[in-house]
Amino acid sequence: MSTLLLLVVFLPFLSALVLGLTYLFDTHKRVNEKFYTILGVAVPILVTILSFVIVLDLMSHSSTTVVTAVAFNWLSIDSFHIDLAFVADPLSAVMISFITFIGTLIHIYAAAYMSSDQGFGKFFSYFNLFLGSMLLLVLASNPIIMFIGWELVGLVSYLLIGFYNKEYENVTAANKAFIVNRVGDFGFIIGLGILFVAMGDNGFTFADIKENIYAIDNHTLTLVGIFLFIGAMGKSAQIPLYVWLPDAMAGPTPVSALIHAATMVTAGVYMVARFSFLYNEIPQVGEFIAIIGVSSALFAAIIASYQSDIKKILAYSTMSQLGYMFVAVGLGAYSAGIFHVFTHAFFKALLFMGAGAVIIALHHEQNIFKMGSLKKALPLVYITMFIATLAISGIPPFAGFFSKDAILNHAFMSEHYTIWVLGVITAFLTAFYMFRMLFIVFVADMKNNHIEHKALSKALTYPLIVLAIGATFAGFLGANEAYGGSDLFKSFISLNDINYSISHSTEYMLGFVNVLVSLLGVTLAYKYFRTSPQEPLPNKRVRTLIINKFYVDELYDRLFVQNLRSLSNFFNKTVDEKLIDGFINNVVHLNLYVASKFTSLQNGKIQHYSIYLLSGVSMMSLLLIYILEVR
Amino acid sequence: MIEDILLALPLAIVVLGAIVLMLISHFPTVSLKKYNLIAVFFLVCAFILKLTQLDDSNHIYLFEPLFNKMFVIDTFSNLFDLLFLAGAIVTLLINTHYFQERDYYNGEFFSLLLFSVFGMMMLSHANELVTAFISLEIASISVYILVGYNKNSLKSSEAMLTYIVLGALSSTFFILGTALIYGVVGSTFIGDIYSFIQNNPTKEITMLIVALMFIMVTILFKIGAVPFHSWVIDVYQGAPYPITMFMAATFKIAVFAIFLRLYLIDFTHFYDIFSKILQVVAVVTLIGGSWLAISQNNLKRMLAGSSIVHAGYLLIALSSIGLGAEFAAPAIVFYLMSYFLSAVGAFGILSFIAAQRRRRATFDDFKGFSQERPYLAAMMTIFMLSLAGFPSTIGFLAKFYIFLSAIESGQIFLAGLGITVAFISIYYYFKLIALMYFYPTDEEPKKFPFGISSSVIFLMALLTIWGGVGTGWIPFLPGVDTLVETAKEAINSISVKPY
Amino acid sequence: MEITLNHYLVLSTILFAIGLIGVMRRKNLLMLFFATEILLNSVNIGFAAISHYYGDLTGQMFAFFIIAIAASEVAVGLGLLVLWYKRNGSIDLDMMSTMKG
Repeated sequence: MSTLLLLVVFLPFLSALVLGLTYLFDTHKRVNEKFYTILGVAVPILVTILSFVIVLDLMSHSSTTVVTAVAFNWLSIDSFHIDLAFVADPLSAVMISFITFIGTLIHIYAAAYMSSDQGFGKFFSYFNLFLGSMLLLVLASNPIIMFIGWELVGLVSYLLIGFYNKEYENVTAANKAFIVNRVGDFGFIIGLGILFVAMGDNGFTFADIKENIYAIDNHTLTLVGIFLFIGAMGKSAQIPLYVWLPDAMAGPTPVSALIHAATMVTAGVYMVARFSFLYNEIPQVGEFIAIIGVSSALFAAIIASYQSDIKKILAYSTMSQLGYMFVAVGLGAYSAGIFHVFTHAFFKALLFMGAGAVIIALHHEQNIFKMGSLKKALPLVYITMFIATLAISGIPPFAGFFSKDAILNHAFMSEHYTIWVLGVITAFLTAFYMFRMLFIVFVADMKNNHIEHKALSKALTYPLIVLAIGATFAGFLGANEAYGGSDLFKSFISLNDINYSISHSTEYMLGFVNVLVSLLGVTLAYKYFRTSPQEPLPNKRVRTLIINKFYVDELYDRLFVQNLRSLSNFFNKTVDEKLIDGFINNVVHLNLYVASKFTSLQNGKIQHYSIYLLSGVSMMSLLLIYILEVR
Repeated sequence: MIEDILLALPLAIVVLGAIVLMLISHFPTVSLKKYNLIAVFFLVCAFILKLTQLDDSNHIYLFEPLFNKMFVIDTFSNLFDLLFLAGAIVTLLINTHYFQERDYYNGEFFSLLLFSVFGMMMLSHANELVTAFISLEIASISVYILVGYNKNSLKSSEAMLTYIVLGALSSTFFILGTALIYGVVGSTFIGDIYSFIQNNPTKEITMLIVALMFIMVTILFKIGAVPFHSWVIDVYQGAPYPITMFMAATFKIAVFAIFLRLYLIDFTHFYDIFSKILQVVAVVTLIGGSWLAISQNNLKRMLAGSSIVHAGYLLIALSSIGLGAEFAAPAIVFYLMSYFLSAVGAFGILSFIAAQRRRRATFDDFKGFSQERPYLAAMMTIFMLSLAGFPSTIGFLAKFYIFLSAIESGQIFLAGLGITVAFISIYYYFKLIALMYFYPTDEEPKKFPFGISSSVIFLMALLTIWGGVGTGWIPFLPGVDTLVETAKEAINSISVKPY
Repeated sequence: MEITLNHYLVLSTILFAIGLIGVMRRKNLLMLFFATEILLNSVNIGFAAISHYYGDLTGQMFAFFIIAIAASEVAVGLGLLVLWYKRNGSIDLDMMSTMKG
């Protein structure tokens, strides 16, 4: 098993290397796209199979068994070791299984989406690299290796957002994503640093930390928890570090589907779940996380309701759903959070891929108001996206209902009623804006839809079907007793959840509320956008405010970017040029002057040299006499 | 006895090779390539034999009934023997091209080189001061001749003259010190001196200290520490490239072979005095060497100047030994290895280019070199980075260990100065990189010349990088920690004092 | 007056000083090599005297070794000197400083 585990991580890296080198040395474009496709898709398929084998193996044992694999000792200082080691426990096994599965589908999809692109080979190299990095992050047995994966996925995300690097905007978006993530990562590494110091000599794997968590005092843990969460904020696009995610949609659509919806952005949630034993010690930080989560969810849902770019809508909805996940993990419902990660991966990937198919069909048109009545032209895309929309809106029996329900129920039961209310409002908005998008794109008659449609290849559409099946049925895995399930998911990943007993009647009542608000959202969307779309809310001020995303980008620009820039200018023009450069220049000139004087002693005359030598001996002798006298 | 013969065999092979080369150099039909091949053959034989003996001989006196305790064989001397042999092999291989382009080389050249290697090997085994002196002179006199080997070149002869006069002058201090020690102790064995001081802590102690200082003068001269540095730059410039390379990398290691042994044993009781002296010398060497290096226009002279600076770093580590830095002595050995790799590579590229038609000597000649020969320029960059101590090269780790030991022994000032000087060194190393990459050239791009010379240089570049990043990443391939471990073992093998 | 070890050592020291001054002052290459010879031989006197003082023969043996070293050093030096004379017709040191700076 441990060999398999090593293969799971290293195969994608290996193929990324091969693909990258091939692309690099193939300057005359002699290598066929087929080569890249076959290698680039075969490896994810293989890795998926391997991960499923690992999951099945884990399922057949008791819940405490884990598969571990040590690649090599990365560094060792005295008795302290950091191994490049991987561990597959139920949590990470679930993660890798859906990451590889959805990753494979998106790889197949991307092969069609990216076909006849100049950088086809480069794209697949990056994509495989991403898969490897994500698996490294998830399977890491200690925070250091996790951090390496964390940084690697950030890097690949940067590379792929700026994939079309000929256009200035894409480069800016990539830079923005990278810089904002850096802010988060800085928090993350500070958290790790504090934890490292607090751990002392007790080792630094997750298992070690779990064992020794009681030895660390609460204040330190609070600090660690907050700083680690700052890292999660950056990676998982939560307030206030979310600004990069909408811009990240500049990358090709498969990238948005895989990295900025299904997998990478959930790394923050995964990290909190991974540190669940730590966050259980500090419920106050957990509450903070939940508040950040629910505000992000609501905030993003409001913005999403007024967006006109199909990918931006989905980006904000991703942020909103991530908010739900943080509510769950913040309030101690780790398995519910991970379950939502799991179901969300299916329907969000599906939504993005459907959107990508639409975009391709309409020759790279992304504005939803220039689409309309695509139902007939793209029936398959319409049906699958409809399923996904039902799933994300939380309509039973689709996947999203169960996971969202679990989260909201937990919020309610743990007596965080404000959070629950906000969550329900968000659920309403979610149904509203998702159906708004669906109606505008597929149903409404827009009168300007005489754009010619491009036929879609099978590789673009078949993955949609597979995902649609997933989006429909994945929810049953986590259905609890009230809905006739047996909570398979929760009992399998067995995290240290905080549990509340809940009666079936309450359960039904809450579920009913959820469905009701969702249906309300759908109805509203139907009313406004079914036939001729027009925005509700006549208040123009509020509308511009929302369309401009509450001016947060501008605010950040004012607060940080411009101040920083003027400060930089000050340092550049005054401090650096006048003070430091002036000082350095003077020192350099002085040094060069002295050096030339010193070098002129080097006149090539042997007798002078011997005099230097003997005077050196004399000086050493004098020094010796001095030292002996002092002694 | 049989065991002794086996242990002495590498030495014997080298001296035998030297004699064979000397004899066949009278036949005019033998080509230079063959001489080179024969010399390398003998050296490789000795190297392999020595490699098998690296660990299994701990502190044995060679032919004890015959030579008494004059020659010792331990891991320390074996490691240094390996370094000398490797240095000579690499020198010969890299310069294959160079020799063939010059008509003044013949068999005697190789013979002398082997004699010099023999002298160095004896030096690392020497356990007695007069033996050490004789070995040092065997190595030095061979190198004197090699420096002036190009009889037609005025510079070469002048360099030889400078070196021979100053070298002879400085060696007299060594033998003077030996005479004084003999006067006080009545013996010149390293162990006897140690036990004499141990047993008579006050008797004629000043005389002994003065004697040891005289010995130190010679050593400092040979490694080119300021104020005994004046010969370095001129000799390095005048000598043919292969010999510059040999002196800078291999000969310097040889000097440390004897000095470390002496310093770790006989200087033990006077560490408080000699650490102070070494600190002062280290400070002036670092500063003076930097001054010399930044004001040079000729690349060979710049590298010579920088080799003085590197001697300064080594002196920091030496003074740390006396102040209780446990890791200082292995750090020196490791630094020597790292310097060996980078210096051999840098000089190797220079000699490789010098073997071609167009001569390049000054910085300006290297303008736009990267477009003409991108791979060589890349490798040169690697070597410059390593010499400057840039992270991810072996030079960084070496400097890191040195500064670590300086800080461990409480010499914060010296460590700070060392780091400052390392910054200054970026000026003259990066100047070359900048010139190579940021200027246009009229020359046509040339193909990478595959051959022995270029492959060995490439290997050096790989090792430089490998030593900087590799810590056992690839199974079965020794990483840099293996080198450090070996260095530690070597030092431990002399630190045991069985006297 | 009896000649003691000290007398020999003083002689040795005086010779060493003469040698040093010779190296520093002499412009003639041949004289320079003489001076280095004097330096080494002054140490030889010391060795021989100490050896006699201790009644231990090793010191005198060392003297022989050092004579051999000195001889080979001078042999190399003289070879260079001949070469130099052939080229320049002079063995004056002042002509030999082409490398500087």
